[in-house]
Amino acid sequence: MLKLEQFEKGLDENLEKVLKNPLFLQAVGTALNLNSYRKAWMNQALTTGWKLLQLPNKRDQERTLHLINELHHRIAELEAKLDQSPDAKSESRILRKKKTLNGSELRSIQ
Amino acid sequence: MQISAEYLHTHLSERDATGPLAALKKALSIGSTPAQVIHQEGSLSLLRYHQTEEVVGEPVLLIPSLINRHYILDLLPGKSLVEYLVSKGHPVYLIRWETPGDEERWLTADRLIGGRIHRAVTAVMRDADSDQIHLLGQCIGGTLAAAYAIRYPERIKRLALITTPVDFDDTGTIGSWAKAPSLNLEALMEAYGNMPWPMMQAAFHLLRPGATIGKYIRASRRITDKAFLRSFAALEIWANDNVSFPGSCYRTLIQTFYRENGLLSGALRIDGQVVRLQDLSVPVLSLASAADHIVPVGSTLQPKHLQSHSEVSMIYSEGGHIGCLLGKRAQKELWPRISQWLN
Repeated sequence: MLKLEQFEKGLDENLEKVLKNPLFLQAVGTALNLNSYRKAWMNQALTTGWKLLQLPNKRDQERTLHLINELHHRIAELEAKLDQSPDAKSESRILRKKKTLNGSELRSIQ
Repeated sequence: MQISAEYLHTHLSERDATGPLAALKKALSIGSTPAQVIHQEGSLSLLRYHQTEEVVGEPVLLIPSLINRHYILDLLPGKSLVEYLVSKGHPVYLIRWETPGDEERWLTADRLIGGRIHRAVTAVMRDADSDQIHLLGQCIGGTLAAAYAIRYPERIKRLALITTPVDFDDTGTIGSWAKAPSLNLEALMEAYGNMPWPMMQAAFHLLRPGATIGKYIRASRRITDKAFLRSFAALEIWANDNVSFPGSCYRTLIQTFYRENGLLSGALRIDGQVVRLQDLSVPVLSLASAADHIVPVGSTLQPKHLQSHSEVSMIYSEGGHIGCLLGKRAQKELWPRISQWLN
């Protein structure tokens, strides 16, 4: 068991030195960037292809759905503002009162 | 094995409910505390756990890490913080993060915290008919919870942060990677949209490869211990079942939090207002663990981060990032302390 713990500790400590080394990070970062550029280029090529066929592409669909989400956010914000208005607050108080009354009615039935 | 539609709807998202993993989760009773979805917006679902005891105190909203699945807080019967809190009478709600849609690459941290989480909190307040709630955040979920509590203190009674990074000056190996100038966030987001979970998972596995090998060797020695194996399998399922990170939020996490230390420097804005950790005014319970290699003690919330009159309770644990939340010691000491603190 002790040997296993020594192995774990040794491996983790030594690897941590490598993982924090600026040269290692630079190399990994460059590889990651190159891979990202390649994938972005492929996405772009595919988008252009769909556009040439006069068809909506994935990015168009994403943008549309995002705009729907934004609209939903704004509607929710407006609803929250309406809820804060004095009329809505008094209505909410009445509803709460009714809810409490219903609760007591239920308890009395039981 | 047949999986009920109710189980799928409550415990797994529609996108993530297929395949052998779902059956395995069901077979092991992972995340099985009864609950129902009461609010949903994009990849966020709000669960309300069924109340079994007389209600005690304000509702508690749990916010798990945005990277992982929610069921770490409700792993197995008898090994579930959710189940424990419900048994103590707390009205428990939980935000479940699901696989984000491709359109959520543009979901900003501002919209997430000031929009979706804000509305989830409103839904909890309405459902529980309460003017204030308690927030309990775990890991990055705690960072979001802290930012929310700073921005909307009037809605939060108490805040509990479980191994949560808030000071990103000292974040260990992950911090070194996030701060590396060679990491081009724009290129990454342009290519992938949302940050793919396999990339994040590979990074986590690289952190402690020795410990990972040792974990399997130790498990092989206890192959006949059924209770241990069940727990081990449940944790392994959780550790390998992640969600991708919404692109724009990931950019904020790396750029604003890690590189600019946003919660201390004031680089983070929510709903038009600067959010600073020193402005946190609600009472806080902060759990840190010396053995946590993902969130080192130095990056968790400490009294030095807040103003002198702020109420901060610290708990220092010995387990790892998850062990300190689910271990036997946590069940005996941490959970009762959280429950008492929320009363």
